Amino acid sequence: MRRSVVPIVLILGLALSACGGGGGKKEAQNGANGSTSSTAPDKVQASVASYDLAAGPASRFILGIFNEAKGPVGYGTVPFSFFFLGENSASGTPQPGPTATAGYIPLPGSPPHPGDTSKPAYLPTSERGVYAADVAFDKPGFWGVTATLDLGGPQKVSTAFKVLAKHAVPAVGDQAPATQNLTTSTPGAPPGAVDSRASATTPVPDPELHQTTVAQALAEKRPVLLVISTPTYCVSLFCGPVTDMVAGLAKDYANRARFIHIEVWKDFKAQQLNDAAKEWIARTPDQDINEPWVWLIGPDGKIQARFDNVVSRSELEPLLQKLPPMKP
Amino acid sequence: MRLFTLLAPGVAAAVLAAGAACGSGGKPAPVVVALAGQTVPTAKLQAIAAGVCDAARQAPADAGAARRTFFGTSHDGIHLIARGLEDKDRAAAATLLETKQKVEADFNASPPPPGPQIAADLTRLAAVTRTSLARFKVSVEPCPDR
Repeated sequence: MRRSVVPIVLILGLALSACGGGGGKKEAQNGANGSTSSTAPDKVQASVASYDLAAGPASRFILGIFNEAKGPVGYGTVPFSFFFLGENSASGTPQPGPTATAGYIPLPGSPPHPGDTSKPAYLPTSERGVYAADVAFDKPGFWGVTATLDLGGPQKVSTAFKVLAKHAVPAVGDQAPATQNLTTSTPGAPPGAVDSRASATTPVPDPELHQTTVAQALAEKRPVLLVISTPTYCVSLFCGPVTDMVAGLAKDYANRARFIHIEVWKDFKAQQLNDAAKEWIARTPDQDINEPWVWLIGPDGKIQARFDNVVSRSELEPLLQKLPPMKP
Repeated sequence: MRLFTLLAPGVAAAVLAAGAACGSGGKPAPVVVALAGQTVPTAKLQAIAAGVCDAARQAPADAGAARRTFFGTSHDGIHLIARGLEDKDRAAAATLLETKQKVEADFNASPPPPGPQIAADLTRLAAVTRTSLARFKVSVEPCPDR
């Protein structure tokens, strides 16, 4: 197991980082997504923040844009142009692919931006987020993306990434694993394995996220909003805010779905993953570990939506609002 | 398989270059450090540590200012240090992240704990950060007495 390099790049830029749950043995199949456009300190750079891109139906593609010297870039929209580079390497002649207009997704808990949010701009380092668009890749291999934006002058930034033949992590349309995750009532479960913020002396901070198992919710044919993250051992910034945001949704939409948080680590120091987390994010021995992840599972047990790395309340709330109130 | 090789994945942190700067012990300090696959200026790491001290100094009187300093100057960098440390000493990385988590819990609590408690937790984090950076031969002064 090994962490993705994506978060590291972005941490260094103090712009954006993913919650690489860490400890993965191998750079993920999405490892190529760790590419970044440049390491020059005063150039606009882009880093693919998606964890698990695959050929097939459109899915969410997220890109962090930043300048190490000037800060992260956010707000407005940014046009993306994709190009195919080759099946086995990124050295081929670029072949034009899809285009998309990406909107900005701020990290949950980011302060409201005081300035003009209609156009991309440099942000204080306390703000961060990604640009997101739904994109369909028609074949696996190495792809590139060019983002065009105006930051007091036209800027073009490109980076490359890998697209798999099929998703490595449960995706939209897949049957959700009937996971027997730890809960606050699981006999003998160490509090820190239920939520890494908890300990023998610190209670689990969001008990509403640890009341039931995915298996139980599926058996009851309840929709589930599932977050897998490690708020303490996150190597970057997104795990805690995303988990807190899901906890907020759990309070506001308790009658629409079951809300469940699965902690990544059974024992971080010993590098032991929770079995439940393995079923979702480490399904093969050599798979990389990335997080946070959020899934919406329908009452039929099929995954309706999937979000990697950065997800905002504004993306999840409409999906919850569409669910009918649950019968007692 | 990786597309770009400009980042070495999963690289254990190691001192890359010894240079002109001198640490408090009089030994040459590295100018840059290879940390989690990145080359990071020592000055940047020292600024991250100093930010924790600044936040600790601010916390008793102005927890909001301390929060802004912590998240604006140090928080992201501590994650980076932890990532580098993880490759050398996973238990030490855990200690750093757990200590940071305590500070975050202080800032996120409603109501927040008293300023002196936040300051104490930040001071503890500063000490752990200092110890962590020493693993990379980066020398950081202790926080000045408040």
